[in-house]
Amino acid sequence: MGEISHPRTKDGWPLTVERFRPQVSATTTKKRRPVVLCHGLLSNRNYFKLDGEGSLPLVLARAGFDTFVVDLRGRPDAGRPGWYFGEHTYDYDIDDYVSQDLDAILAHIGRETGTSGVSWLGHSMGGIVAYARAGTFRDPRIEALVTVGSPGFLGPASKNLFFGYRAGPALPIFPVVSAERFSGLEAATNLPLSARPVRDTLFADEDWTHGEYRLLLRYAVSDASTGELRQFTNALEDGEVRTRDGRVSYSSNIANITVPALLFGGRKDALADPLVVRRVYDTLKSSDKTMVIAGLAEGFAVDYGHADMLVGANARHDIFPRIVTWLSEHEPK
Amino acid sequence: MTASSLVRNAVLGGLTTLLVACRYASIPEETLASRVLEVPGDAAASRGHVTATYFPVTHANAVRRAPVVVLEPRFFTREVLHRGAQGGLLAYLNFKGHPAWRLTIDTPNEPSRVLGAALATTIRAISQASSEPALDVVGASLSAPSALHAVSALAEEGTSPVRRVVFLGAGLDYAYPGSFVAREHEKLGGPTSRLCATEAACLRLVHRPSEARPFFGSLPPAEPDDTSPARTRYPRLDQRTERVLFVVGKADGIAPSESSFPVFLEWGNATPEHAVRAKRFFLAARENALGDDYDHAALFLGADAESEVFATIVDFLEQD
Repeated sequence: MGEISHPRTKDGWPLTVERFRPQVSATTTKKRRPVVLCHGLLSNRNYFKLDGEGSLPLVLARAGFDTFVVDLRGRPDAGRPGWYFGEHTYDYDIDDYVSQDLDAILAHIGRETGTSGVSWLGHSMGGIVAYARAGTFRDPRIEALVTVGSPGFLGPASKNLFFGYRAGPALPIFPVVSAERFSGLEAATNLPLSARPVRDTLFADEDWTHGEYRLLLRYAVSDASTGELRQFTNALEDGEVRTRDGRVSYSSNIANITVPALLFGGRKDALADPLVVRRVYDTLKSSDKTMVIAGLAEGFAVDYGHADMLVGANARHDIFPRIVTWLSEHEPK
Repeated sequence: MTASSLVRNAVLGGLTTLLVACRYASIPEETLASRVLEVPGDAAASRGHVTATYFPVTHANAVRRAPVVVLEPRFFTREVLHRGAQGGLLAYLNFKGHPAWRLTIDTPNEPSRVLGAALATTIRAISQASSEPALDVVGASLSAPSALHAVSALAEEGTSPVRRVVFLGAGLDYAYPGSFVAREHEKLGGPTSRLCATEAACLRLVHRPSEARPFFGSLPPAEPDDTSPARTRYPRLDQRTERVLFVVGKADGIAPSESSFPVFLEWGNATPEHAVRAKRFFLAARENALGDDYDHAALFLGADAESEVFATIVDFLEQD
């Protein structure tokens, strides 16, 4: 457990930021630039902590990084929104994450650490919001970028993703997709309650032990607002993630990003296939960019999927050391 | 068992036997145009030699459909396309009514652009010799760059006989870090062609080596080591108007999705409204309700390749 704080966004939403201070030892020096870890869609910051002492935040802290694990708005630790009533409801979307939440998080970390910028590590949508903040808002506080399974573009829709697209018209029925309750029930009962295409896209057949999978369902799944889901289903039409009014393409604006970037893609990732990671790689204007596809042929322990690149025994040996090395090599001079 | 059920079982059994027998009845190979034509004034093109072998439709009940030219893959032996009673893509095309030509590159050490010119000449010769104004072309595995050059060369001539193009397990653009070419170069300390110098080195790249072992070929030196990006390697991709299908194995570490997607993106973009209609990218994967995530060899040899991969190709070829 790190140090918890709840900074507020300019539009009044409380967020959760958990800090893991750097552990300096005889062999480890304190790194200058803090690292922010941001979760994906339908998830929360617990995703990064499922491996206990072996989790990425603690690995980074032991490597000397001041590490901040964040929850975007709507996650329960900062106060659960109401469905229809209350101070906050599920009336937000990706635009709010990008324009409000990231601004508040970056400002908070700047105040806490006295640094001008951060290295941002995003899993899935946690990377998309960073692409948008750095590319569309051109926020200079994101000085280095690591994304893991982040579909900056969406690829040709698979049958599983098309299932989600067809569900789009049903989204307005409720303001929220109550995934947390379903996954909690699934973890408790071992019954496959979630829709199979969703389960297969996000979790199935990955490098999990049964215990890890249940932990993930129990603690790392959060509700999603229909607004953010709508932006994803809209993106399936032409492959580009756009603002809610469709006028600005966060995807195309990845071309404005010039900071050093490290992109991870899982060979068997059904949401961010390596082809979209390649497209992001080709679009980035960074002169210092690296793309890593984690698969058997590439010398990794397994063909990684969407959610197992940052959780599990293989991730600790295959992925974490690469992240630590890259971040260390990209410390400010 | 009643008399009627006995009769029904006998009829069904007979039909099944007949179907199985017809399905892969020995398909004759006819060498139609044994050597590519020399192209006057183009010394480069004359360096590439191609053999075209004809596989006619012999199944009496098959509806006669458009002919298909299949360029044999470079990573495997030519038998991978036609495995006798074991099937293969050519047998499946024939079974579905498509006469087929298998193009074999006799001068594999030439660069893909040179081979593309030779293939273009052969494809036009086939079109003329068989009086077929429209052909479909399949480029497979690491020979796909040559197929793409051929399709482009024919289009540049003005009146291309190519109507549709299929890329099956195609490695077309390796201009990214950690690509198959980059990592094998690093591992081998030289050209990728050294990869299959020993069978073990080759087989480590597929998930079921025992199935693939009989069909492993060799990689010629010049292929696929061209690591320039698609836009510069294949000029005027955005001008392509042929309908195109990319079939890619989800677990393919040799010609993965990221090695062909840039070509898919660029294909026909000069007329975007046409491109949206004319091109398709298909991941052979469980996420598309297939039985498995296909690797490179499984696209050609997998137990369900016929019903899941070849059928997808034929569906595409038969669309209006």
